[in-house]
Amino acid sequence: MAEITFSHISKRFGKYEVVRDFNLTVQHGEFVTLVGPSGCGKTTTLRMLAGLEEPTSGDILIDGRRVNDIPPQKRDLAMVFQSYALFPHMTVAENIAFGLKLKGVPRSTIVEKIDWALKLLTLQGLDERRPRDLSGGQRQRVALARALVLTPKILLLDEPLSNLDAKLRLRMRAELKRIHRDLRSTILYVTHDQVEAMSLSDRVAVMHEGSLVQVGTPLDVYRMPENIFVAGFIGSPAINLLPAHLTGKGNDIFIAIESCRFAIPERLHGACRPYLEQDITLGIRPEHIYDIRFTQGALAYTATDVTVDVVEPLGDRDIFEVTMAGISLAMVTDATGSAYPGMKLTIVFDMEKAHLFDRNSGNNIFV
Amino acid sequence: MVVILFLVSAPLFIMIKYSISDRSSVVTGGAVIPLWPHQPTLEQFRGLATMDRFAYSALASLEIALLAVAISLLIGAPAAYALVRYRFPGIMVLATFLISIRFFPDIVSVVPITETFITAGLINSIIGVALVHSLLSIPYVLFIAMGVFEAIPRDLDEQAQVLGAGKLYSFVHVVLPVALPGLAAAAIYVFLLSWDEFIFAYFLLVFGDLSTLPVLLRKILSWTPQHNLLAALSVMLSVPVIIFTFLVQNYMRTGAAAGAVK
Repeated sequence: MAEITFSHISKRFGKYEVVRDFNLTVQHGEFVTLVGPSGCGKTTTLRMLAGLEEPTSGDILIDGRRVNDIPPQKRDLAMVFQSYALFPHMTVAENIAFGLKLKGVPRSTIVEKIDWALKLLTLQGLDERRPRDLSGGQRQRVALARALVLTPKILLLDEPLSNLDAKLRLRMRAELKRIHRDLRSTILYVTHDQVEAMSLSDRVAVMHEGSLVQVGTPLDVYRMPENIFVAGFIGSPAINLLPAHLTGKGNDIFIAIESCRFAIPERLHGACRPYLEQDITLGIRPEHIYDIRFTQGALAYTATDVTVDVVEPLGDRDIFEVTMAGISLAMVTDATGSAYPGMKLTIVFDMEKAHLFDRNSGNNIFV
Repeated sequence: MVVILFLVSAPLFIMIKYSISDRSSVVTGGAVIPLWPHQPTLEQFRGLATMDRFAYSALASLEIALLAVAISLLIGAPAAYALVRYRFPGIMVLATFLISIRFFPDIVSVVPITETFITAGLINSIIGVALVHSLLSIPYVLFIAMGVFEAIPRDLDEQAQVLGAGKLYSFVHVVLPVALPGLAAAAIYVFLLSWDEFIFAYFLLVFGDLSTLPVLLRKILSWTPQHNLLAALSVMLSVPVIIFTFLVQNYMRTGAAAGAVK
């Protein structure tokens, strides 16, 4: 266990500032995921913590100690590379033993640890194989085993599941959670897959173009995205972002999309007032749009008519692509098979769960 | 195609033919030399085998070649690694400078080098010739080794470091073993270069008793132009070239870094 602090970290490669003013503290034993689209600087941030890149400015602290000038081999952390980076001339067992040998761990303990890791990652019987004779999933697990046997204070994982097939990825996700619970290492995890980020982490740190845009528990980030980027990035299927206009009439505030109007709940009026009669972006998640046939009447005043374009059945639920006044949007329903393409549908927006974003800054006006 | 085939094989054929010719097929007293010897014989090879000077020269050639391999790899491989892995300003200038000796014809650099080696007392010695051969080989070693190291993913060194290895440890225990087949190819190339090299060896050894095989060939040529013996010597010179070429091809086939990444 260890506490990690990034303090005003920036990194430039020539002209390009790939990480800018990055601040984050990861608590003892916490599982934090850096998530963002490719090229957002998350891997660079991880590499700076590992000591493989030097920050252009700012400090990195591990347990309160500045580590900027400490070489990677002295930072007492383990990292799993996206590419696995297995040593091709060594067997699986030799690969796993590599770090232990360097630490001067006695031979008998090494053997024990290798057995433990092989069992944990269901690699039994492969210890004498070479990396080239392993499948992608096996290589990935060997890379993980090689890091885990060190029982590092800090474990860095760079897209470790990206090369696995869907089924194995799900299993490894659960496996990682269990390993984290058992070892209590501080884990910093990098992924571009927001589902992975949500399902694994204690906290999610969303990065965009080198900056940290929001940090919070998966639920917080999902429920209260601070800006339009986070809203669009977190959640699957992706949130609907619709151009809208705010209008007031007496004591009511409406959001108008083309000819459709949706009333804003009263508790949010305060935040809306400065934006009255302005263009704004409405963000509403597909799971917060309901078919009126399956809802109680309470929300009916925000109903509108749409046409179903596409139905994507997922088994337990359906995704509908619908057209509302010429605008296309997605909705999710667990009433599977309740609609077909071309069908007219009356839908309801759950405005309690909707977000409004400033057109210029992209910030969520409810935050 | 036929022309090329003929041009390539004719000298080889003549060399081999002469090497196994009996005396009557060479000294014909004005008659046309036969296409194939009257009585093929291994007499010349037997003669070489019992000839002290041949054995000494072959041994000298071998020692020089092995020394040249050791020196040029010890210097060239780490230099290539540094050039590939560490980016610093002027790196291309440095790399160009390092291979610049190959820009000049050998005959141009042979005089200043011989001069220097005379002053340094390095003529007529195995180490002297080995040093010159290393000098000639290093550009090639650099070139081949840079290619080899470039093909090794940087992730491997970095992973080794994160796991607790210092830079030297990860070079010796991770990078070098992976690079070995490629470096072996470079080693064989150096060996052959040294084995065949004539001009520098000749200048450095011409006044002494020591000879490499090519120099011995030249020395015999100047005393007794006995065609069949010379041809036999040439064959002995060529045999290692052929053997090693096959070895190189075998090494080239193994993909060393397979399975390292993804």
